[in-house]
Formats: sequence, C-alpha cells, structure tokens
Amino acid sequence: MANQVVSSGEGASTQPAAQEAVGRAARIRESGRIAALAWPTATLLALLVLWELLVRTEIVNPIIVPAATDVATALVDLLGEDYFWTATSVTLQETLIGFVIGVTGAWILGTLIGISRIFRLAFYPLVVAFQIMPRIALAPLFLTWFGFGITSKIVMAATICFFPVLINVVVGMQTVDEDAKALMRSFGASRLEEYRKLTLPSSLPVIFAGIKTAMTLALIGAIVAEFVGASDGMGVLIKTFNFQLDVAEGFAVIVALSIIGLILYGITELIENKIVFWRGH
Amino acid sequence: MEGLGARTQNDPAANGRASAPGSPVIDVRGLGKTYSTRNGPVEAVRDTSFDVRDGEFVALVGPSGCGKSTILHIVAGLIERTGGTVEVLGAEAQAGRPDVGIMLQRPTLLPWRSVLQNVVLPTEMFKVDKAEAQRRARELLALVGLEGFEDKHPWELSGGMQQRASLARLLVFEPQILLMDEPFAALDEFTRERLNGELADLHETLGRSILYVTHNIQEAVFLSDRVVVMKPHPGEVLQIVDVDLPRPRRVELLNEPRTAELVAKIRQMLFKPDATEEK
Repeated sequence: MANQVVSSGEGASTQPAAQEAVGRAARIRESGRIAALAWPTATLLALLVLWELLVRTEIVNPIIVPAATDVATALVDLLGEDYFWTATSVTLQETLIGFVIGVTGAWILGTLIGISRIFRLAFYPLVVAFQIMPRIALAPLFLTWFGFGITSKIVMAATICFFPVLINVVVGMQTVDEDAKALMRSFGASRLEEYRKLTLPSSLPVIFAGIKTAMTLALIGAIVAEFVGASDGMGVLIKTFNFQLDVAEGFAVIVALSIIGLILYGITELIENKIVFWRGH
Repeated sequence: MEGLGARTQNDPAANGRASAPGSPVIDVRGLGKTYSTRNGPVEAVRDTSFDVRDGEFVALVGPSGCGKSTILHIVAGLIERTGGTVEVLGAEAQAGRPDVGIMLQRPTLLPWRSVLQNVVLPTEMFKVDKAEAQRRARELLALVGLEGFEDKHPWELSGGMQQRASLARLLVFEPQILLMDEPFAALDEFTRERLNGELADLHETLGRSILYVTHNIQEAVFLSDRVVVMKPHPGEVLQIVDVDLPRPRRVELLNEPRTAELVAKIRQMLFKPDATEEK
C-alpha cells in the first residue's frame, strides 16, 4: 500500500471553493438570524403598544385587564419581594426535579421497549393508551396521595413530561438506518456496541425533540398541581393575586413564568445543539 | 487519469495472484432464496452457482429483480439463504467476519463521527490496536484522495468523496474479500467513471478478491475478470463471460473495440426476449 494509487486532485481543488461557499452561507445565515430576531420583536412591541392604548382609552376595563405598564411596574415591585423569590425557587425545584425524573424514567423504559420484544409487547400498548388519558386529571389524586408539599408537584411534572420522551425514545430507535445496521452487523458488532455506536446517537435528535417538549410540559405540570392545592409556588401566587383582584400582580407572575419557561427551553436547546451538533445534516 | 501508469508500476508483482487465479475464495453452489410475503412465497434467486477465485474481480450484472444484490448480501451473511451452499474462504458465509467486507450503494457514514472516526469504526469491533487503526485510516484516506479531510464531518463532503471515505472504511480492517453492492451507482456519470478507474487501480495494486454487483454492463466489463450475467424473476445465471481485456485496466479501454464487443455480447444475452421474460 506504499504507492499512492489515487490522485488527490479532486479533494485539493474543491477545498477553497468549498470554504468560499461556507463563508457565503454563513453571511446569509447571519442576516437571516437578524431578521428572525427583528421581526418578532417589532410585532411584540406593536402588540404591547396596542394593549396599552386599549386600556388607557378604557376600551378595555382597566380593573379586569391592567395596562402593560402597570404589569411592568408590578413585576419590578415583585422582584424586590422575598416571597416572590421563595415561590419561584419552589416552582423551579418542582419543575426541574420532575423533569429529570420523568425524562430518566422515560428514557429507561423507552430503551427497554426499543431493544426487547417482550417489553415492547407488554408495555407499548399500555403506554399508548395512557398517552391518550388527560394526565392533568390526575392532579387531585396526586394531592391526596402525596400531600400539599413539593412531592405531589414533582410527581405531576414527571408524569406529564414522561410520555413525549418515552414515545420519542421508542420512535428514535425505530428510525435507525437499515444500511447502517447491516454494516454494523457485518463489522461483527455486539448488541451493546450496536446500541452505543449506532442506535443511541442515531436516535438522539428525535429524543431531544421529546425532551424539549418535556421541559415546557414539566413547568405546566408543576403550575397545574399548585393550582389544585399547594402551600407555596408561583401557581399559588397567581391564584392569591387573582382572589385579591390584584390583576396586575397576577399578570406579572405570568410574565415571570413565561420568562422562566423561555430560559429553561433555551438552555435545553443549547444543550441539544451542543450534543446533537449534526442535526439537520 | 494521467500519471496512472507511474502509480501502478508495482503491478506485476502484486498482480501475480490475479493473473494466475487459484482456488475459489467464494463458492456459491445451487443458491436459492425464496421470500415469504403476505401474497405467498416469492422466488428471488434460483439454483445459482458461480465462484470467485483468489485475487479475481467478478461482477454480477443484470436488470433489477435479478437478485444480484440479494446474492451479495447472502455471501456477506446478512441475509439467510433458503437453498444451496455458500462458502467464503472455506467457511460458511457469516456476518461479522474480519476477512470479508461489504460496501453499499449509499456511503452510510455516521454524521456524528468525523471522516477519520468513520473510517476506523470497523476496527473498534475487530479489536485492532487504536494507534495502528489510526495509522491505517490516515494512509487509506490519502490513498483514496481524502488527505486533509480527516477531521471534516460527512455532510461537508460531496457524494463522491463520501463514497471514497466508505471505500477507506471497507479497506481499513484489511478484509481479503470485498463485496461491493453498486457502490458508485448513485453518483453522476463522470464521478462514477473516475472512481471505477481508481477501483481498477486499487484492485490491481492490492490484489484482493472482489465481488461487485452492478446493473451497468460497461462498468462490469471494464472492471472484471469474469462477468456473471443474470436474468430476473426469478434470478438465475444466464452465462458467465470471461473478460479478456488486458490489465492494468485504463479508462481508455472503454473506447477499445474489444470492450464494445463484450458489452454488446452481454447486452444481447439480457435482451433476448426469452431471457428476461418469466418462464
């Protein structure tokens, strides 16, 4: 194998052209990114102005709907209150612990269903059936079982984010390329090697799609469980403010929740882009 | 393909085995394959016999449905046969043998691995020393013209370059027998012709035995020592044609009258009405 059989002409000549193409693509992507940020920001600002005008002109009753600026003031005030941060930390804990438990459990069960025929036959139909059930309906039951504390909210968050991950783990394992499987077999790969080197990485893009959904669902689960019955948390704050007709404060908590949801989703997506860097290719 | 002569000057020595073919390294006797489908059994391959001798390049050629790809997968041990015997290097055909490698029509590179990591993939299963595997992979990537692309990812490569990487991955664990399933069929005409020229060089230099599946008659003639001509529904061998073109094979050979003659002969076999119609 000492002598070079194949000329490397093709490779060498395509390299500068390829780099130029990559540079051009990057510039197009950059301008696309600016547009993708500028347009929704403009729309949001326009909607906020419209909201403010509708309330200020009293076309909409300011007691029922506070003005955007009132909500902003309420939010700034809230940020200075200790009870707000306590509530935020409680809800965050419920969400994140529930998310981790739900995702881990779903990943394990999904993998077992994906690799074992028996597990598949025994569990998959049940999983699909449970999927149809509105899981939020379980919240009062969890309250009875696990009490007013943090546990019933964690269980709710875990339950609600369990299914999308499980389904995506199973589907991800089914979408592994048949040619790649044949190649791995021809290389004499054991089942563990095939899983580690092919099945798991192949299914990661699909699994992460489920995980991103699960992140938002976990927050919803925690809040709903707090609505049903809790001693602390942002859901409790929203309910309390509504009862007191402090609508601006209620809105402010909702805004804070949305920001938290966005941040959690953003972090998940960052991790996804880091791990599944080949996605889309 | 200038300078090709210089690059293959070592050929006579390496080519010794090919010019004096020895015992069969692939021996297919009375091979049959019947698939059971919802609409009853479908016979894909019937009573097929041929062999590949040490260092030989044999092509299976025929229209789609002639079972050529099925036969290749059976030889690779990836599909179960339903009749006959298949011996590879004196042993039962079986997947996972380090002495047999298969290359598919699609490059099938793993997108999360760099080109170099893709090439060393088989060596991880065949327990080749890591440093040795890396050394071989780099050497092979240079050999197939991908020097400098080691750390790129597959999606940064053109289709032809991806198939070159796939070829390097096939060679990295040094299998004695190469099974190739229409490896360049999805590429454009120019790239395919060029890669076939390089494959001929590679075969003449390395002296490996190759079983090559294609529906392209000219490609089969250009590359092979013998062409197994097959008809479809069910797949059966029509004739095995000896290709008496000189080696080393150069792309210029495609313009030779003898090449055209052989291509015409095979084409005639395949297009005789009674040959391609169902019995």
